[in-house]
Amino acid sequence: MTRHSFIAFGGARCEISAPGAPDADVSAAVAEVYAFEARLTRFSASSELMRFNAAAGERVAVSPLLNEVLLAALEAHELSDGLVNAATHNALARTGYDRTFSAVRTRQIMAVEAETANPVPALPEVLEVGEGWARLTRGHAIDLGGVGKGWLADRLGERFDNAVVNLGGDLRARGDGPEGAGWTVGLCDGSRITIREGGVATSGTARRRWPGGHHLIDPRTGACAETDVSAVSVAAADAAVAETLAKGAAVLGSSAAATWLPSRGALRYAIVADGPAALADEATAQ
Amino acid sequence: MGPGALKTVSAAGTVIACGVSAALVATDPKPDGAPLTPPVRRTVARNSEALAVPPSCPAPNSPGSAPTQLPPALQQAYDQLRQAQTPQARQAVLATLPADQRQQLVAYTRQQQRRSAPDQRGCSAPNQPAGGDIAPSIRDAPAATAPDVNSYVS
Repeated sequence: MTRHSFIAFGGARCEISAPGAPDADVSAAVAEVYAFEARLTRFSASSELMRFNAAAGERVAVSPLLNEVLLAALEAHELSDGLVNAATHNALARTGYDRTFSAVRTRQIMAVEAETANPVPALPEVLEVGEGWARLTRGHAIDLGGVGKGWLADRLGERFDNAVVNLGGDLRARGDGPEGAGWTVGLCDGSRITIREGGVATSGTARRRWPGGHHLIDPRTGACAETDVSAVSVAAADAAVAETLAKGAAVLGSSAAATWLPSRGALRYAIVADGPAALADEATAQ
Repeated sequence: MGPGALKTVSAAGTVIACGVSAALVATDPKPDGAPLTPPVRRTVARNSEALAVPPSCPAPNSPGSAPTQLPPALQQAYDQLRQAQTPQARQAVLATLPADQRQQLVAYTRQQQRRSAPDQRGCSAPNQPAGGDIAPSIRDAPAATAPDVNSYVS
């Protein structure tokens, strides 16, 4: 089985495996990951996303791709009861996480103090999306990082009869897998599930953290989430839903997440609170 | 000159100045392109803070909602994609396009599907199960099974 491994989304490890598929099709999928990143990254002022952010206050024409992912962000907000909010961009930037994490590591960054942070408004209050246009309220900005990865993993996974598309831990699997029994996926606590159709995503504070803070913003406060969740893996119907639920659960904390996740469509989940040794991460990923 | 005389002279000066100005304005030629009557546009002062934000998900085919424009260069590929019946056939159509155009085409196709069948999860149908029409197949695997792939915090 050919496995295409590559780095994208500012340092995230990605891989696409599609047994029996033409190599050119898999390579084309990899190329789309980079095209997607170029168009929707928040780390480049020339990306379509950042040009849209810069035009806040105006109704602007958007490409079909940005249109779709903005709608996906609104759906994620609704599905997560507002816990996943793409309008946390500015709060995240205030932490100092305003460039790729590899660049952030090289300088001092500050956590958002709870006293100075402001709650993030509900996404539908600041983002209006029509067909071919969108409008963002002045003073706000959008980050499509997590939502985008889930959306893209689904779109690329749908191209194949038998494939797994893993974009930095957000993955879509479908088909019989490499040996006919489906795709076996390792979760953050070391447990395994087998998937013939579905998505898995993992979120938490185990990565992209720094002294005093981490990358998970709680929209209810606008500050780094006060959570005991080091990592939470969620399996759901597709990667977009899994990504939304995993991030929402990470923000909520392990106790509340255990009741919230099943009510929102999670089909399996695993939670690691305060980071025991069972945490499976990039180091153990194949 | 006493105060009364000063007032008289000042008043007379004012009348003369206004009269001259009125005469100049009246005889000033109107630019050729100027309308006879300025257009009247009824405007309403808008207090943005008091505005209610309209729904974020417009009703499909609602008045005033126009579909996203597909670049003309992609129209033929879009027609071919609609007729493709298998993943292989769709791949063959997409393979003719650069990566960015493939994504625009896929996104555009999803928009058209949403317009014709507003049954997507989220805004259009809040009671729709998460994941839409996907029939997930997920089961536990023995712990000893080597994973094909891991999900992790990135």
